[in-house]
Amino acid sequence: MHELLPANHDGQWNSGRIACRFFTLTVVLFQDEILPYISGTVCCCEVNSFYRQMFSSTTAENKSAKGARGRRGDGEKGRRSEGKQNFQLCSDLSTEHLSFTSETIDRFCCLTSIIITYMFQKKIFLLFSYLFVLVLPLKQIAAEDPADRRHIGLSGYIKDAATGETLLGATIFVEQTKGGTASNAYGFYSLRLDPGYYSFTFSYVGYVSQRMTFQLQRDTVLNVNLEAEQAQLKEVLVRGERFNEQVSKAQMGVNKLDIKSIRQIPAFMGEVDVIKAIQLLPGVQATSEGGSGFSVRGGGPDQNLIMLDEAVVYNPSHLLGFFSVFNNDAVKGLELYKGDIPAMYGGRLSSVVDVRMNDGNATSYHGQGGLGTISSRLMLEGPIQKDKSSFMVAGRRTYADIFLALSRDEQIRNNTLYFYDLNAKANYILNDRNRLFLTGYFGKDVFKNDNFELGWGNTTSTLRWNHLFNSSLFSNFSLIYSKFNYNLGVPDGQPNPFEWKAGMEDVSLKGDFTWFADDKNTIRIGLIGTNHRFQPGVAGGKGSDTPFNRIEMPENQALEAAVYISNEQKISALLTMQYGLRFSLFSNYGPATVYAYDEAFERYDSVTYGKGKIFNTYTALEPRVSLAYTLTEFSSLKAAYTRNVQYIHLAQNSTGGTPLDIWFPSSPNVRPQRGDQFSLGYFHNFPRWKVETSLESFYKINHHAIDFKDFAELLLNEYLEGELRFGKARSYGLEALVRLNEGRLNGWISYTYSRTLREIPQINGGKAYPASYDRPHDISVVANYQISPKLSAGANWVFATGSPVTFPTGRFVIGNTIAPVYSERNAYRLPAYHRLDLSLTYSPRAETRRKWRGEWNLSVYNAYYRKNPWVINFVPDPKVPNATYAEMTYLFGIVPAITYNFKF
Amino acid sequence: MKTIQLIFLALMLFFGTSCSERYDIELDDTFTRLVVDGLVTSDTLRHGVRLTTSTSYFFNEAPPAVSGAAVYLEDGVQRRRLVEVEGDPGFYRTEEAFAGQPGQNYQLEITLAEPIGEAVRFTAENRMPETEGRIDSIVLEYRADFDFYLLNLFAVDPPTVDFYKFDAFINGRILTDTASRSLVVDDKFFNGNNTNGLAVMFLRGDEIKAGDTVTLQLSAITEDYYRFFMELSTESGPSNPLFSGPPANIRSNVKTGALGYFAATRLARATIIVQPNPKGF
Repeated sequence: MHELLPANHDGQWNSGRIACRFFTLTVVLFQDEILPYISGTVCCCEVNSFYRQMFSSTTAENKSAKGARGRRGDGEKGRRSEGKQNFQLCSDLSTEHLSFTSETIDRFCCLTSIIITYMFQKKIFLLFSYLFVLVLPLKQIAAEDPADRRHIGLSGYIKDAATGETLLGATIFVEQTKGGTASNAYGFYSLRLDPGYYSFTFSYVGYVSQRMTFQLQRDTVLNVNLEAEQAQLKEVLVRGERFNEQVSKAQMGVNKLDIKSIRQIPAFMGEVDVIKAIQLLPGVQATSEGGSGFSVRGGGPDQNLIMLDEAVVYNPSHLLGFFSVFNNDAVKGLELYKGDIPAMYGGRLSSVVDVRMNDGNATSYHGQGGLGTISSRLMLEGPIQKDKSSFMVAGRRTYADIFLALSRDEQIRNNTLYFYDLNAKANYILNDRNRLFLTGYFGKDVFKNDNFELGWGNTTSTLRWNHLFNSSLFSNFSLIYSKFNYNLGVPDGQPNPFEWKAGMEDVSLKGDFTWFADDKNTIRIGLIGTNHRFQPGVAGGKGSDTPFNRIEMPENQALEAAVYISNEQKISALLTMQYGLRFSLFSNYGPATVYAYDEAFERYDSVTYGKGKIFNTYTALEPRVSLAYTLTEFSSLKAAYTRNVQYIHLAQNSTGGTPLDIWFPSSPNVRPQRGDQFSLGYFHNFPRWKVETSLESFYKINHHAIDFKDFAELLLNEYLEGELRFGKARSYGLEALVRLNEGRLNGWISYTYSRTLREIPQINGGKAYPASYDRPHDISVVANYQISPKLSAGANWVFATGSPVTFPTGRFVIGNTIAPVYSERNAYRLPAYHRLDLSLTYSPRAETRRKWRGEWNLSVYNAYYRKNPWVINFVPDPKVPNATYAEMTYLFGIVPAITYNFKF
Repeated sequence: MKTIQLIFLALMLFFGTSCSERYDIELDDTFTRLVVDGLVTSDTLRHGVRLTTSTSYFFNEAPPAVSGAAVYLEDGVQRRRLVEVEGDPGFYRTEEAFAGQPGQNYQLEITLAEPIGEAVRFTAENRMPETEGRIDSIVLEYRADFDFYLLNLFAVDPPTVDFYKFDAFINGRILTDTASRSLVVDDKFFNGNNTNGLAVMFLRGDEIKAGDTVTLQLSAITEDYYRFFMELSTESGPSNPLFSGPPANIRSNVKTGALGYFAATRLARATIIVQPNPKGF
């Protein structure tokens, strides 16, 4: 099932040269930022003087330009000094370039011109010349005499034998070197070895491992197809040793979940949910009962970068968050980065959730779907041209409104209430070196009746091109569009109809290069640019005699760009290091009106900027480094430091999260949030028991953390920035995980101890207070047991310290109204949260080879009827005057659900 | 926003099996503060101020009255003494009836007989808005779906930035006696417009009957009092994790360290008689 193809020859580079080149490149890339730090050190003197010489002319120009800018900047009223990190960039780009139409092309012209203009100013254009320098020698070396070479390459794709679906994170173990690697997000792997005989083991969880021995004489392309393990549970015969990825790689703070294991977790109302699975991982907590919002290591829900095939999903929730937007039929798997976020990702402080969609079966037509308690799903996939191109289309729709239609009550019958998701993907293998992927996601929630209507949804699309320059240089280019919008109002035909719309839209362009330089270095370089457009709200009445004015919040526009470089380097047999730098840039541009606020957050002035005028720029250097030191064959110690910067923020001060999300950019009044995280971990695998264990600790500090003043008005408020308060947030914790990946019993147990405190001068009298996500103890147990080939059972139990809350400590009376006097913020806690969910899956035809295979899934949410308080309110007693009592509201009792899933 | 919240909560009830029950909880106590509840309006009457103290949260009795204080009301022209009403301790009234003047700044001075929180002297001021909220007419609209009446307002809002409070009276008896029933609005959405039948109040079907006189009272209020009242109705009502921001203490214009509010409001009223067959609209 595998193809052995000769590949192009390419060159060998020794580690030293590569490290040297990496260093040079880094210095060139970031010389403006780095030089001040390193100029004093001896080893860098040469480099320093070299670059000083090299750039002396441009630097001089730059200085004078900066001076001029400074003076102009002084003249502008209402701008606050932003310190060293923020310098002003008043480039007057021709409005021609910046004329904003809905045409994407125009946007890109604009984006590119701004980035290039900026890069010229910052000399980052040198990145490109160096990228070429980096790529060119490879081409040259490809033509060099092969006798001179020491390393040869083995590369290819790892796929599912039945479907042709690429497998992400499949591992390759090389017996002779005791080393290995894992496939990347596109299923591609590349190894560099000395010529010789080798035994390779290709493995992936839930698949039969493949062991191969052959002589490696020249660059080889080896595409490997792995067979999925059958439900029969027969012992897998071919089982070589696995690459200990968790132990060997420097990367830490990462959890991978494939869709198979997500499906085994008992699901709320039978709806398998990717986000709910993430909430069971160590260091991750749901922000409210049944909700899709989650907090990673004490960060806010808006600090998670949630991506579906690289496109950002701004609001991953359906129906008030009870369900997430990811249809499990369309999802292949996900990776959650919560600590050491790789340099290629950025823009959020806490985590990255990288969800990948199925590519579609490239060999034959198949379908899969389900009939559930609240929704039905159907996914179809198949080849467009066999083994060359394939498609996948998946849809899901709820049908609560169909039941509503059966109601006798006309009022209920007139309600419309549903959500749907549509995922589509096509991929095309142009040739061995080029692949194209096109992904689309459309989802919407609709709620409508005679009096009211509300809708919200996400739209994303991604066009990707994988290009293999040669077996050691993999590249990916993406064009990404992402949109979130909502509308609500009173429909026509009602007295005083009105509507209210808000939304945001991103367009990004991305280039990413992975260079498997030699057996010790894997270098990644990339560039990403995003144009953000925010519409915080337009509201107004409908019709001519409406009493309502049209309130139009000014739109915001901003550009976010970054270049990054990172290297994963095996320094010695025992030490692996991953290090990288990300340089990010954020510019606000007009048309815009910026208000100036004084120290009491009162507005005192405003400045208006014209169309296309860049009026504020922030830049940041985000370094990261992680180390893995192998203690024994199966254990290692890891340490990491990461800095992340977040430029866009969510105006939301409730914990539950509604679809009425308003994202707002950093601006002259809002500095970017900055996060520094230190982590330390011990990893130990017990291959005999197929158990992976890890113990990770972290300390995180978030500068310029954003909070909101008391009784903040976040919606339709043009002066939103005046409602913000800034301070610091700190979190620290310890996470333990024991994970059993294979066998009849699998699952994990995780325990997290963590604290998160916020300190904002204008809130809680400046005293530190626990963040609403501060829940010190958090336990998740996830287990799945295959009782027989036809029957499997799943269970999960969660426990968390109650959320911090503010309760009254006194009261006063105004008229007949009893009003509370509150404690310090978050001085009390709700009772502990715990819950058990169970599921049973029966597959009557598990053993047959028939095409149609169905299974019944029975799930029970909150099996022992724990009344978990959702909120505790203090309400006046209607029977006793002057009396008040505490009232606890819980959302769910026992919620059973039955789902029929099928495959054909 | 309230409507949106209601819709969301209805949704939650539909999907969740959401339930509420009484819950035993122990709360700490905080120190006692003076509570001021005072009002001067454009009506001609003996305006009054009620002085009480704050209590522990589950005090469950009428708030303790603060008696024996010297209370004065000053409007820049005249200084009036407020005297404690016999048989109603803690309630202080002017000795003569007078009408508050729009645009006038009213100052309240309180000197306590015994200190509360180590202070004996408290002051508060509020300026009566000049906004004349003229009501053209009001209409009662019956909604059979939920068995309630909407009280719709026809009025022209002046072009200035204004804030209003709406209260309803049935046969002269106040219906909106708690913060959750009154409505305060800013005119952001309808500034300078004819309100064209904007619903400003709802009355339950069982609260009125044919022949009743329903009075809508419009008070022009200051922005600060508007915010106080919004905070009061937010914090005295139920909260939920979907919409409510973190709880916070309610502002006060009484200096310093006291709770409550002293407000000056300009009033306008309109009256309607409930028709025998309200469903026939």
